[in-house]
Amino acid sequence: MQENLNLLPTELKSELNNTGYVLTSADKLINWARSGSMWPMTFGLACCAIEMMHAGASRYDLDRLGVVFRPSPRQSDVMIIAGTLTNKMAKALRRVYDQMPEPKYVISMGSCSNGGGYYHHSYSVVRASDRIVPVDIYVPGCPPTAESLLYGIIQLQKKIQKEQVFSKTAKQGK
Amino acid sequence: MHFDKHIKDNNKKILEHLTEAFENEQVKISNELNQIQLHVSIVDILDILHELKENKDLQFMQLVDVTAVDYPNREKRFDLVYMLLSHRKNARIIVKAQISENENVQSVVEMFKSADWHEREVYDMFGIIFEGHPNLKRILTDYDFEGHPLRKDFPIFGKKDMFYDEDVQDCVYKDVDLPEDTRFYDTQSKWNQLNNNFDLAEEDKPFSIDEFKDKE
Repeated sequence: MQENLNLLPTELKSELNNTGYVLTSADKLINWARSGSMWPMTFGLACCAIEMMHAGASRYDLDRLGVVFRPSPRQSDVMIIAGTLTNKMAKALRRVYDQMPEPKYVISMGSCSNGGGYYHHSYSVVRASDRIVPVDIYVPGCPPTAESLLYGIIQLQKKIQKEQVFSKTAKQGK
Repeated sequence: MHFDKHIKDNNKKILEHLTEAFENEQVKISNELNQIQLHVSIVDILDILHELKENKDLQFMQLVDVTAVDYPNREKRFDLVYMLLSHRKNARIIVKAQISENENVQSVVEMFKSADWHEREVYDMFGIIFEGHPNLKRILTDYDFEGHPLRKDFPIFGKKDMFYDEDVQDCVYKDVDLPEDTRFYDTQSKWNQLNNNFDLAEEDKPFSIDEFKDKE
């Protein structure tokens, strides 16, 4: 236990040593918990998914941010739409999104997902995935590098940390 | 080079057997660029493919691909293309048949299992109906897709766009409404790429190659 305490910032450590407890606001605690373990629903649709795999593998290592890929929407907090969203897939995407528990977030990864991209003028591609689900973070690129996706995930963490869960002005649902 | 010669010699043999096999039928056989092609009538397509498969000297047992080509100005607008491979005789062959928009064609699924998805794709992309197909529905596009996208008269943007509708709580199709025109690219001209869209001074405007010669 003492060893673990040594890892904490000195300010926090002295407070814990003096009183045996720390004070924070509920909002901060909840946002800390939410942003610290965002489990993404794996939704790889095209080449962006390969870059998403790179971000998840050892070099960029999303695990260290508490981002662990889940194969089920029931256990995930965030959906990374990685790739071209076609009309035929759109219904499945929306269904998976509906199956995710609240609070849920969406990262749109790559040009195709952001605004149709290369396939904007196609007859079978959704021209932006925000027509189907509400998107929180757009990661540009074709495909975005693993660093870009990592940066997008950090931006989403910052966004979550600003949320007000209990205050009256809170944004309820989406 | 050795390989070319091998194909030539092999094709010569195959052509002999083909002429022998289709003596009595109306089949045009060609061998351009060492590629054997049969031009046949759409009504005999089953007989022709059956003969190609079962003839001991040909043995085209594998149907590699079924596809179509659209020639909108022609009376019979589609070319239906069957590509076959004979492992035994080490040869490939293309069978082409013209078919009009209102005409149906017999499915070859019973003869070649691989035709199943290929015919579904041709139906999806061109709207050609294969009679006797066990499961003729769209394979690539959405099941309630409108039109057949590889027909030349199909609009490039499609006809419908997909949105999520909060009221219906489901994904719905709406008519395509693009906010901006497509850009025009003239791939032939080296000079007039901007198509005078820019407000340039007269002397700065891009000019054609003929004008350039005049100025010289």
